[in-house]
Amino acid sequence: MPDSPTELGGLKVGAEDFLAAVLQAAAQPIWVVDPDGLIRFANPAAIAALGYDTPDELFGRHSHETIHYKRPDGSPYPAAECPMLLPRTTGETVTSELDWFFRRDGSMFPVSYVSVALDMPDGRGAVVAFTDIETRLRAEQVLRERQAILAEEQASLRRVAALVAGGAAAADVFATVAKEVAQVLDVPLVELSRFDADGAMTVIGEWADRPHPFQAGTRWPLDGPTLSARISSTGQPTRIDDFADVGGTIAAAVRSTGVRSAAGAPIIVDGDVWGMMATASLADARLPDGIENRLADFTALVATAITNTQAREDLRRLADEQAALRRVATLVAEGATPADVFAAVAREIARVLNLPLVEMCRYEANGTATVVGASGEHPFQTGTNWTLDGPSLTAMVRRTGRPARVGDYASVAGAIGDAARRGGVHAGVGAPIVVDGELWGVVSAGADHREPVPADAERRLSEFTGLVATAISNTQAREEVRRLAEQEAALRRLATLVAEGADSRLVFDAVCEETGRLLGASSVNLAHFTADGFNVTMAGWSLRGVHVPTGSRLPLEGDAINTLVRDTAAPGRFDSYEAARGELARVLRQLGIRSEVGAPVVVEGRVWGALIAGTDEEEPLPVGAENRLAGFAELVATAISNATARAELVASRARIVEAADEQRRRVVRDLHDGAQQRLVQAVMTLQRAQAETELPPDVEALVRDGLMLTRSAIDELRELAHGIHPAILTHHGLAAAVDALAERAPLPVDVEIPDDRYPTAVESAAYFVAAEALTNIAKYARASTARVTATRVADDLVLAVEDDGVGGASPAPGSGLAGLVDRLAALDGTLTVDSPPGRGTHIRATIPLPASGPPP
Amino acid sequence: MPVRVLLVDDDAAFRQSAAETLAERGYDVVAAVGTVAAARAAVGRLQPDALLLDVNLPDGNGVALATELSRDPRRPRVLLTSTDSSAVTRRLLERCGATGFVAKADLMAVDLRSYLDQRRDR
Repeated sequence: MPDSPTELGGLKVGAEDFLAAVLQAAAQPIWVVDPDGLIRFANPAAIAALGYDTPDELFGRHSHETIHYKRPDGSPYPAAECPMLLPRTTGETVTSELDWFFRRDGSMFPVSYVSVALDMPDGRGAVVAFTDIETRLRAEQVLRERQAILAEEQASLRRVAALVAGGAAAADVFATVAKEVAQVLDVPLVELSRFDADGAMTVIGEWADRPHPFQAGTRWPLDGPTLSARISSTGQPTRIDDFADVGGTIAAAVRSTGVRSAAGAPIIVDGDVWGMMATASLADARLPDGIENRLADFTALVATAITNTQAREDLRRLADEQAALRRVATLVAEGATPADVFAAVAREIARVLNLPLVEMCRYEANGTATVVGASGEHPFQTGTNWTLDGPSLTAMVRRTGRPARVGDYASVAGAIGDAARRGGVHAGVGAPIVVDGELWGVVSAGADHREPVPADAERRLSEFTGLVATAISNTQAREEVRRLAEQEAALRRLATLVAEGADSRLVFDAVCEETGRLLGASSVNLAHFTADGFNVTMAGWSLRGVHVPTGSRLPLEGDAINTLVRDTAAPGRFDSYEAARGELARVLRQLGIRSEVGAPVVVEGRVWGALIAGTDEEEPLPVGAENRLAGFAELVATAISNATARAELVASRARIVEAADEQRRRVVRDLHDGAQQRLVQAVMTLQRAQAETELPPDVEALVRDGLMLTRSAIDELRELAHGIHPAILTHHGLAAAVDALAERAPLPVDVEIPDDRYPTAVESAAYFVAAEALTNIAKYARASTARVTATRVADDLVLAVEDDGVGGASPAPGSGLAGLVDRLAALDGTLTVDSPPGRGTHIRATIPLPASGPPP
Repeated sequence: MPVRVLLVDDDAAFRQSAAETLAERGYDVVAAVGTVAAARAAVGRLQPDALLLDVNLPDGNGVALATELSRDPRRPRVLLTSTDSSAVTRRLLERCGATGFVAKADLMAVDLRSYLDQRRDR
């Protein structure tokens, strides 16, 4: 036996008393079993734990039979197998973590016990101390259950998180979340919705174990105090336990599904209530408390997914947009035509903004708009023209010069509105195209679906319009530069012609052709307005033979560009000859010319005529063509001035020569009529005197002398007169005069000159060339024969004198030939002397003949 | 029968002396006129055998008249003359059908018969 308990802290308490007191007070159930297994003692805790009222009910009963007789599964439990009684035989302490006792009422409860051997006078018994562990077990069970739920939830969340992190599409995330939540929370219906800008909500994901109206994609108005409405306005989780009296569309649908109560949590994205997740229970079950908070874990994930997706979406969209802008910018930089740029931009906008109905319009001067580029199936195709009646996008942008949007074409009146409705265009946005500070046109993008156009659509559209404006500006500038360069080159070519003193006709024809090609006209004419009111066509050019024939002479009256230019002395245009009156107009119509532009040719302050460009196509020549024409008309005016000046110069020189010739002819005539006649008479008188018979010899001698002298005088005068101007030239022309020269020449001269008469100045010049040449031949050439020819070559008279003499002649200054050069130059003629030594001489005078032929 | 001669010259003094000379030589000067027009009329009216015709007339050319007369079936013989001895070339002479050209200064010296006397046979 261990130390006596009476030594407990000096207290002199009897061991049995102490033990009894302790056993009495202890909460731990304890009993004692004797060597036969009978219960000899049980403390109040044990009695209570086993469900008995008094110790007598237990004392003397077999322990095993009373409380330990069956296994938990109901099968009998033989005492021999009971470990609790072992210490009686083994003397070893036995502990059990879990066993089952029976109470008085037959119910089982779990215990853990320790059984210790106790020596007794008649053998060994056992002291058993046990603990009811039912509560503990149950607590552990609850904990395990809770942990399991949590683990499930965590796993679920992880799965969803993995989806989100893996960049799954938002729709996938929503659907998955709905399913996971339904499973984890063990609810029959979960749906996720997005709150739209117009106060409705769209279901974006759902899962349910039965059919229901809240399918993904459906839209519901937030009328009535439903879950959605509350969450939308408060941003807090909430629940509704009875939809019986809740009004509104959603509530009605909810009731029809058989839902009894519902709970929901908000999805917060970037601080805004983006949407919500809701779950519901059916008629008989009520959703557990706090479920709306468990939802919150999932909604947070959903919010992240949405944010990610949106971010990704934004990034993708941005990248898309940047790529689209780059493609268009490349086109622009490569100098693509505006038409190509328009088409490309329309396509890109449709794709990037997901607004498939795109058109780009140019505002016309007459208040309409013409489509220059389009994408998608709709009535506003490239080339169509629209009046801006009604509040269409095109009209609004034109009025305000700012972006605009149409929410619903159902209510837009006017031509565009009607066409939009017919074409299925539902809504759209438009942005202005501003080129070089001026409102040039508009880009519109619209949708045929019912979804609202995103709020940033105008802004994104504007990024494209900026590029379009640059393209247009570039193209216009390049076009302008190219046109200017072309024009400069053409003007230079023509100016060179003019400066070189080219023939007027050549210049006129060249101007007509250059102008025509530059302006893209079908025909160009140069018209001269005569003093007596006629329009004479001086030159012309056309692609298809539609120009007024050169030489035409028509009255300068009626409705035509000619009269307009004459009256205004300014560039102008005549846009349609269809109803024009007058013969000019009639001729033009016959030729097929539909419209013309013209610029005046002003010479010495007077409208000499006009340079006119026309087209046989339906579209008149572009605005500004008449001004470009003006540059060329000025060139023509200069050419004419030059030509006139030159002609005048030539004419004045010719007049001088003419006057001199006339004077000479007069002198010769006077000589003839005067002195020469008298001398002839003198001769005849003397001859008659001579004929008289019987003249004294000295008188006869005197008469003879007188005759001789007088004859000499006649000869001298004749030569003088010939030298001044031979009468035969005046009366009978060049051929006869040269014949006369040939007859008097000391060598044989072959004359081949047609009998035609030419203008006096020309005949004189040619005659004197021949006379001088023959004189030189007679004096220096030592030739045996000579030849004089005159031929008409084109518009010139060519007089040639050849001999087979010694050559080496040249028109030295002061010589007769040199003097002739000037006389010829006055007539715009030339003289060439070809006189190689030893090979004879060839003299050639080329004298222009007037186009109208010799004077009568 | 004396040869009947029409005298055509615009110088009155010459008409005078030429008429005297011709008369002295036995010619019958039927008329003396001063223009082409008058000459034409006189030819038509008087039908002379020959003409003494100055080439330089105020209203036309003697050569042209000679050419004209050469087509006349009666064909008077035409002797052209002029103060200017080189007024008519050989070619002109041949073409106009005149019988000859003699400068006024030489008229007295030549034998006029070869020019005036023979009536041209058809």
